[in-house]
Amino acid sequence: MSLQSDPAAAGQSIALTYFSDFQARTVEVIAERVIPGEGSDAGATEAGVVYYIDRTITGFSTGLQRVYRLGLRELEAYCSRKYSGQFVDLTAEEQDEILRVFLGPEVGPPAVHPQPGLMDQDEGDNPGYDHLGLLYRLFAVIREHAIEGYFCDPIYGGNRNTVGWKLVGFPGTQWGYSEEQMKPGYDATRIAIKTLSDLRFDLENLPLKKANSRQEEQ
Amino acid sequence: MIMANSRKIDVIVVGAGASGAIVASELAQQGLKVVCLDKGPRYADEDFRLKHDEIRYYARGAIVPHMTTDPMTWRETSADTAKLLPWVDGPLGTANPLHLPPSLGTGGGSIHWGGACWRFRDTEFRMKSVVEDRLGGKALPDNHTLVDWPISYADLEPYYDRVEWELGISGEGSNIAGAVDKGDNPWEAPRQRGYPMPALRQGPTDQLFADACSRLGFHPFRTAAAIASVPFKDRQGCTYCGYCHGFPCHVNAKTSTHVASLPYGLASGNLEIRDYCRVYNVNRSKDGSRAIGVSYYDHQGRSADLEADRVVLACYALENARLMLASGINRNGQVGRHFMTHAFGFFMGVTPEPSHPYMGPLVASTAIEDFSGELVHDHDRAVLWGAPIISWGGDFQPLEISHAMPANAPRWGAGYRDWMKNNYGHVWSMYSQTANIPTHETYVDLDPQRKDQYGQPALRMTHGWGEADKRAVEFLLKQKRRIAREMGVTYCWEETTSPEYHLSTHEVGTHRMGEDPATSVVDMFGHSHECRNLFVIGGGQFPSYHGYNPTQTIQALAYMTVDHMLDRPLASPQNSGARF
Repeated sequence: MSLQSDPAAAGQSIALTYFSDFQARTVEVIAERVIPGEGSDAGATEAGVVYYIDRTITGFSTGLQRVYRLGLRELEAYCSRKYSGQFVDLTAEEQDEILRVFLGPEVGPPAVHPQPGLMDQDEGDNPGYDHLGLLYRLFAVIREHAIEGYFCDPIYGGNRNTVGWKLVGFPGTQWGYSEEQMKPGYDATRIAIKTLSDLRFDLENLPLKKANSRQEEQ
Repeated sequence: MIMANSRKIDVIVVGAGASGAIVASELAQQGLKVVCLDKGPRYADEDFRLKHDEIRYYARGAIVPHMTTDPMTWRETSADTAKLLPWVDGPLGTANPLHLPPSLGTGGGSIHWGGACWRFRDTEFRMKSVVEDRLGGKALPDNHTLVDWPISYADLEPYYDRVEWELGISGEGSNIAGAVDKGDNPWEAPRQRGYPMPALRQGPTDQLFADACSRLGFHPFRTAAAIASVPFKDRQGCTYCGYCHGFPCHVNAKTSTHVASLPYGLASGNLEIRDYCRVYNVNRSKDGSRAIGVSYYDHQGRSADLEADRVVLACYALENARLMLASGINRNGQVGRHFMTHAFGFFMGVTPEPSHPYMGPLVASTAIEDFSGELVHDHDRAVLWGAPIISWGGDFQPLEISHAMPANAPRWGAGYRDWMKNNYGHVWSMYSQTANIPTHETYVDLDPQRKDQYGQPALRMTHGWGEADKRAVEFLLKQKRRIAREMGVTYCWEETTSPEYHLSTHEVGTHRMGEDPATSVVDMFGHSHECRNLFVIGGGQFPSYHGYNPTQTIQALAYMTVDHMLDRPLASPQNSGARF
């Protein structure tokens, strides 16, 4: 797990919009277990998945803030009870053990969520809520979010340096593909990956682009 | 309560989607004053220039209804208690937009659709009779409610033609009147002429599918697509960007009615579009016999009334039924009955060579009709009605594939990562669309408890897959396995014969058309039997359902409604020598 060495570089900010530093590090470690890095294959951490999640729950999915807040609190209580430690400090094997409980095994059906009504966002208001149920919910949400953050356009905060797209050989956001590119046997690794930012830059009359070209002229 | 507009309006059209946009624009061009209301936004081309975004359109369903704003419930049988659509109830509270009602806003479902275009074959219009003639009167389930259509293929042929040439459909006609050489599809219904544009360019695996089908003795042909393959009218040809089904088009190549119809209506000066207007009631004369207008919540949530000589409900088949029921228009109890939808029988595999699954639209494809409709009886008489098998070679992004992995693939960990790394670039798919036989147990009504944000009753679906429905899926899966083997595909997986979803964006039948006012809701023009000046159009009119996407037929019916509303004679095939 490493933070970007140059956080000032575009799209590499490590600032947080919701999580505390500790919550972010916990979510980052969980996401890394969902999509672990290995050798040249980037994992969730390198992809910046936690920044995707952090921005998602202050933007599109504010209703999930309490799932993270309550769920992460429950996770620490669980780890303290079972392992006498914090989740981030457990070994990868121990962390995977916890994922197997609340997410289900790597291969096989998802763990059964004991609480019905996943769309009900109000369990936090109910003092009788099922503590373990929150953990099933948390891990199910993190798995979905990790995959989204790994394959999203980088504008959303994840898929940094398009590492997710590189892993699977996805050329990203292209205006289109030519007849030659669509023929069987074409070596698609020759297609340069593009992002939504690249596409917008291709549009004409972009103020930023005009400013840039003026600079170049000078 | 405000009076939204005191100017006299000839026609109110509710819904600016696949059929509503056509009716609104055509009537406006003929001089009628039309106001079209849609509960979603009015889109401009510019909105979709940078639409290449799987988070926005797929994961977050940017243009489709959500359960929080448009709740809908489901139960398998009348004995069950309905709950919010369980297949939508994912960890994030969002769902694959393929299994929700279609898009909101101008263009409606035709914004996000894949653009698969099919004419129903002649026998589809007589499905009940054909099944009974060929398989005997006992072949259909005891509680079925199937009937033949009140119109024939010949009645609709000129309107299918109008859809293809007015809106713009790409394809290869096989059975063209007067042509000496027939094309690749020996079972194509006769047509007065070909398509205005050639078929789309194929992706790399589509030819493999076609070759395998040929070797097996099947008859592959290029499918028709509501996507301009070359420039059409003022629209650009397809760029094969691969963000197509579920996404709007960035170059207006896709035949969405917000670019293919509405601009012409708006140019007439007679069409007004009001967006973010949610109609909640059809208003009638005191004795209930005549529609006089609608009530709706406007963009600020205020209730408004609008009056007009005629009202056209052109929402989705489900919302049309919900609106009629919520307005108390259901004297004969037929509204919402006869619900039909598609099971896809998805079959996915990994091809030996890279499939480049991110290229091209899903409809840049090939299909076979060897097992369509009644043709399937020659192979298996236990299957009531068959369907084409269609290749789906591209238009897959990584998130979508993450959600389409086989049940025995790793869901997390290094195994998940490696699965995506090794397989994403090789995925390829086939599907078919088999409809459930409508029964007394497949219907929609108003949910007795659930309300939307305005306190309006939510729709409740009652639908389970019947034994006949499952047999049709299984028979076609069997053929797909043969094709996959022939293609050299060794790693493959498939959907079950009774999928967990009961929405496919292809729901129909909920306001059946027929000649008898006692047993149907509307006539062949969508004119309500119960309520004069009220038209209810779309897939809800279908009396039976088959192996084809519904939209081209929905649009053909809309053009027929237009002729009727304008008191024009119905169109007949231009080529008088042709026999239809």
